[in-house]
Amino acid sequence: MIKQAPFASFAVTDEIDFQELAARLGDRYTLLEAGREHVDEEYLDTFDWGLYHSGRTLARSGRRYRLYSADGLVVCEEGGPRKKRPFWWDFPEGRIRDEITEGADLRALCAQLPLTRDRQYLHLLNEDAKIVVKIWQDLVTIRPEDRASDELQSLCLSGIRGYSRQFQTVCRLLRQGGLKETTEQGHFLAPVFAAADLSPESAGLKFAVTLDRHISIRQGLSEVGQAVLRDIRKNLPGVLGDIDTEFLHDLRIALRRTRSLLSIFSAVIPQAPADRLRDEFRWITQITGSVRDCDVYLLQMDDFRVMLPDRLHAGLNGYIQGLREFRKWEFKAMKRHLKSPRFDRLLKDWQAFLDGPPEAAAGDEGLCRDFAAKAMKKRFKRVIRKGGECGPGSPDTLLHALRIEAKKLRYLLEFFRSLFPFDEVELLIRHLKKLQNNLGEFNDLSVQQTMLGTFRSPRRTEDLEQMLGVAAALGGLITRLADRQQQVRGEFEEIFAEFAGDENRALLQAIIEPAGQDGNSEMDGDRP
Amino acid sequence: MRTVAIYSSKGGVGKTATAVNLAYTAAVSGRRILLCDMDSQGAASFYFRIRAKKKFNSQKLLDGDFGKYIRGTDFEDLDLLPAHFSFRNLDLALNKLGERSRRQALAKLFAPLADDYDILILDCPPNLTLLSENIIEAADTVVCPVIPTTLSLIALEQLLKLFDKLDADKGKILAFFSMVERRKSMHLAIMEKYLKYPIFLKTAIPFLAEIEKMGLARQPVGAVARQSPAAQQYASLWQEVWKRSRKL
Repeated sequence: MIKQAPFASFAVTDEIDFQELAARLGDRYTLLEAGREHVDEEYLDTFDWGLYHSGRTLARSGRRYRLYSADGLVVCEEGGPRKKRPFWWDFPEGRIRDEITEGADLRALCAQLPLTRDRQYLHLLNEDAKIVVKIWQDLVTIRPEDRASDELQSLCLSGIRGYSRQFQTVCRLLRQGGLKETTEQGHFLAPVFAAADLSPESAGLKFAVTLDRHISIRQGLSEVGQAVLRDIRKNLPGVLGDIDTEFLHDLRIALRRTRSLLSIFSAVIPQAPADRLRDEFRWITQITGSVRDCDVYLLQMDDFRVMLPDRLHAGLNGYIQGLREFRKWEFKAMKRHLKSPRFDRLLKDWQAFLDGPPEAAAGDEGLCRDFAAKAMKKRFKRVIRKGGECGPGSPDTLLHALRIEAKKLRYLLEFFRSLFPFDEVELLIRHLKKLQNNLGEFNDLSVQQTMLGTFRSPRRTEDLEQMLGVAAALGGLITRLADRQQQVRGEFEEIFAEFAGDENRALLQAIIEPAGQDGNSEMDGDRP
Repeated sequence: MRTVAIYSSKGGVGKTATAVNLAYTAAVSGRRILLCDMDSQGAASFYFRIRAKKKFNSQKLLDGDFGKYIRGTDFEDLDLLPAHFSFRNLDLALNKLGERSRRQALAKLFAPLADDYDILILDCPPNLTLLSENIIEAADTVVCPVIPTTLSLIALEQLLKLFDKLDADKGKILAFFSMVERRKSMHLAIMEKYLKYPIFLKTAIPFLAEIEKMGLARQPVGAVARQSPAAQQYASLWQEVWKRSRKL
C-alpha cells in the first residue's frame, strides 16, 4: 500500500560544488554537512553470497559490525564475534543477528572484499529543519589481495517518504550539472563489485549448463562433465578448510552427479576407463560420507533437543560430545584422502577424459538431445515401475532403490534442461522434487535411527550414570524418529500416485518429443 | 502488525512524549514503525518537524485514502501519519457511520498497512468519546501514562470503566507512572501503593528536563543523546511494553 522511498546513485568524476547546488535549491532549503567518516572495512558474505541475495550487506571493522541497506545507508552498528569466519549464531542477540540469519543460513561469513571508504554525509533540510533528502558521497578504495588497488567515487541520494518532490528536484539539478545516474535501483556496491571482478549475482545459482541444440553426444558429456568438475574444484578448498558444512554437502552432490553422468553415458564411452573412473568416484564419495553424516546430526541437535524432555538433555549433550570427537577423527581421515595423490590423479584423469572423450566402438555420433531424450524416457519409466512395486507392506529396500532412481532422473533433467522446453522441464523437476522429499525424509529417518543406535561414548568412561543418561536420551529420540518415519511412509502412496499420474507422463512426452515438434524456437533451448 | 495506543483521558500526562520516544526506540530495534498522530493539536508531528500535506484531512483518513500522506521522519524505519486540525471532528465523522461499523472503523482503516509496518503506535487525544472506543477496539495494547496523583488515577479508573462498558479485554491495558518526581512524598506513596498491581509496569518515567526540552530539540530524547537517563528509561519502558503485550 505504501510507496517505497526513492533512491538514486550517480557516478562522480570531478569534484561536486555543493555550495552551488545549495544556492540553486533556493532560500527554503539548506544543505547541511552531517558528518564525515573514514573506515577500513571488509565485506562479509557467505561463499554463495547469501546475504547479498537476501538484500543485506554486512561489513566489519575490527570487532564492530555494520549492516547496510541495499542503498548503502548504515542500518545499525553493533559489536560482534572475534572469529575470522563467524556464523549467524556467533552474533549476540540483536538486530544484526536477526537480519542475517535467513541469508547466511548454515554458511560461514567470509571476507569477500576489503576496502577503505571515505564518506561525506549531507542532509537537505526544509524550513522546519526537517531532513527531506539524504545525500552521501563515497570515495571507495578497493584493496584486493592479489592486485593493485582501485578507486571509485559515487554520490547517492535517498529520498524520504512523502518528500519526493524535493528528491526529484535534487536529481534534476545533479543531472543538469553533468552527473550521470549509475543505477535505477541497484545495489550500492554494484560498481565496486564490478571493479573487483566479483559477480555475486551469478553466485549461488542452481546447477545450470547451457548446451547447443545440435551438440554431439560426446560434446554433451564433455560440457556437462566440465561444469560438474568445476563444482568439485570450487568446493574443495572450503571442505579442506572445514569452513562450513555446505562445502562438503555441495562437493558430495557434485561427486554423485559425476557418477550419474558416467552411468548415463556408459553405453557410448569405452568401458575400461569408464569403469575405473566410476570406481574411483564411488571410493571418494564413500570417503566423504561419514563426516557428512556427522554434520547432519550435529545440525539437527537443536531439533532433537526439542523432541526430548529436559531431564534427558544431559544425556543428549554427552552424545553430541561423542559425535564431535568422532567427526574430528573422520575429518582428519577424509582430509588425508582428499589431499592424496590418488584423488589428485582422479581429478586430472577425469579432466583429461572430458577434454577429449575417447570414442566407443559405435553409436556415439548422434545428437546429444536425442540421446538425452531417450535416457529421460528410460529413467522416467524405471521410476514409475519401481514405484509401482512399492506397496504398503514392501520392505524399506524397495523405497531406497526408488529414491536412487528418482535422483538419477533428477540429475538427468538438470544436466540437459537447456536442450528441452524450459518451463516443462522445470515443472517436471518440481513434481519430482516432491516425491524425492518424501523418499529422502524416509531414508534420513532410517539412517538417523541406525546411527543413534550405534552409541558413541564421549570418552572412555566408567560413569554408569552418564552412560545410562545418554542411552535414555537416544532411546527417546529413536522412538520419536520411528513415529515420524511411519507417518512419512504413510504419505508415500498418495505422493507417488500423484507423480505417476497422466499429467507427468504427458509432461515428459512434451519434453522429449522430437525437435521441431515442440513449437519452440531454437533459442528456447538456450534459456538459463 | 501490532497496534499500540498511548491513551489517557487526562491531558498533560506525557502521552505524546511517550508515543514519540517509544516509536523511536522501537524503530532503532529494527522494527518498521508507523506513528499516527491522532491528536488535532499535532504535538507528535511537531516533535518530528513534519507538517501534513495541504490536501490531507480527517475525511481522507476515514476514506482509507491516507497512504500517500504518510511521511518519513529523520529516522530509519520510522514513519508518521501527521495530525490535521480537522481531526478535532473525528468523533462527529465517526458518529455518521453506521452503528455497527463505527466502533471498528479505525481497526479496519489500518488493517491494510500490515505488510508495510510491524508496529502501529497511536498517539491519542485526551477524551472519552467514540474515538476512544475506536482506539480501544483497534489496539492490541493500550499504554496509559499515569502521573502519581489522584486525578491521573481517576483517569485510569475511567479507562477501566470504559473497557467494562465495551466488554473489552482489560488485559490490554498497561499503565505506567509518568512524570515522577521522587522529591514529592505523595508521588512515592502512590507508587508504593499501586505498583504491586499487575496493570502497572515496573518502569517509571521520571520528570526530567531533557524530556521537557524535546519541544526545543524537536527530536526524541534518544536521538539527542542515546545514553541519556531519559532515553534509557524509555528503552526499558519499551522492552517491558513489548514483552507484556506479546503475552496477551
